[in-house]
Amino acid sequence: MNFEEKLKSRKFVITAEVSPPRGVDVSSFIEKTLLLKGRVDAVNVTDFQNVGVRITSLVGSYLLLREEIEPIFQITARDRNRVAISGELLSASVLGIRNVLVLTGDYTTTGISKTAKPVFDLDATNILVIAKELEKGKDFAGKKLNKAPDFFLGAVFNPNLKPLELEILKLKKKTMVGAEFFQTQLFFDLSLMERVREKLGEEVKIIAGVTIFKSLEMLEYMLENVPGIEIPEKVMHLFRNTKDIKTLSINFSAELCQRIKESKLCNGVHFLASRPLDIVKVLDLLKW
Amino acid sequence: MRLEFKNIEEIKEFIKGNKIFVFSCDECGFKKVEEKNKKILDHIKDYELIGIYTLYKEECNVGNFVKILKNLEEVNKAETILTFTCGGLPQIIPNYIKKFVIPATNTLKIEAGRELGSFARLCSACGECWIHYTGNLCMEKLCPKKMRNGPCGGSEKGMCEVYKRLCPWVILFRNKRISEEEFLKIVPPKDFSKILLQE
Repeated sequence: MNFEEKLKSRKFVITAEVSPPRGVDVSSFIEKTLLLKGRVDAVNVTDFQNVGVRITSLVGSYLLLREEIEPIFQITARDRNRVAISGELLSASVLGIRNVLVLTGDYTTTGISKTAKPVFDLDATNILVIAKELEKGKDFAGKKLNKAPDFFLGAVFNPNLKPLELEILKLKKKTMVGAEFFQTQLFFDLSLMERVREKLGEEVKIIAGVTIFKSLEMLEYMLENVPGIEIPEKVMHLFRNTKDIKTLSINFSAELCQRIKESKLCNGVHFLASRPLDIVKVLDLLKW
Repeated sequence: MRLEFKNIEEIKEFIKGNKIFVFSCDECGFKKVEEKNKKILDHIKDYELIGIYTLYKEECNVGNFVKILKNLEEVNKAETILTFTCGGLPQIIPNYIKKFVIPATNTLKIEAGRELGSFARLCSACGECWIHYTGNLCMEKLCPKKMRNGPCGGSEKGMCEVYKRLCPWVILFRNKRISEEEFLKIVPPKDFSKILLQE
């Protein structure tokens, strides 16, 4: 059963994100990601994560597909205009990539390549609109395609956003234009998801973002530099006062995953910014 | 200053009722107003015109505008206000009159360096004014990503991820400047050809 079928048949899914390599040696990228093969349902390949130059998500996704790992191709609005985005989407389809996660993208100045010109010709919602048009057999300019692609489209949702009601409305808008699943930003407070379900019901497929902290530095870095992340003081305290952060991280993450699954509020977990080796440890601990 | 009238079909769904009040202007002194206003009357002939006021460059600032409004009683009888000005005025009016204010023009170009009316500073001259979708807040001006369909999700405690100020979408939502139904309207991608073709 593939990622889409599993989600649609209401099974609990596991996804993880990996970053394509910075440079042209892809061996380590493939080797590390292979650890996830058979353990997760699909692997997201980030798109110039943190505004850094890397191999494109499209090529990264294709490399995984060749290894029979189901990819989720990520595409943002920051670095490409509507022509380039449409072309990438069509190319993904040709390569056999069906799952697409659409994002607006962080602003250039919040990441590595601060000097680059931000594009934002579209926003995430309008990428979805354009992808849906492609599925109907024409591009945004109305030109007919010789064959239409077929995607399983997803978008992101940030439960940390205040006011949450506004983010919920935004999610609703994205479903109206064709998003069929949502992967969330890292969050720790499950009561946020209760509020989401109250408003949206059970049908929307939401995969909860979790992570495995590599070090206290990573935790502090994420808190400082990654837009849209909120880490409760309780959690910070726990990590600041441990001697063995690696073990704590694995246990903490496993416990959170378990709670997410038992709560029945989410349709799966999505490992963000975590090492495949650590993900496997967490999954082993959970016997998943 | 270069403006074009929007096709009335484009804004029809935003116009509430049939009674219209129009604000026109002299486009910072670049336009003959008699000629322009004649075109306006023809453009909105399907509606009942309650009144029209033409704002000249010298009057184009908050102090004068407030005085003008005091003597402009007929504006209260209108159901919708249409502005045939740059995008500055329709951002200002809602602060003083609780009516639907819709920009009926697209501002194609504002030439920097010329002497301009004060409200022109608020207009991005983006070529396709869409502030009627966003409670008359100009996302072209206020949002670094120029988000068209809601916030980007990068804000923290309501603060923009780029600038140290509130996310304009949060302001819009908290102040209830648009309804949920209005928020859910899809704003399509922008037509950039309008500004790209301006010399």
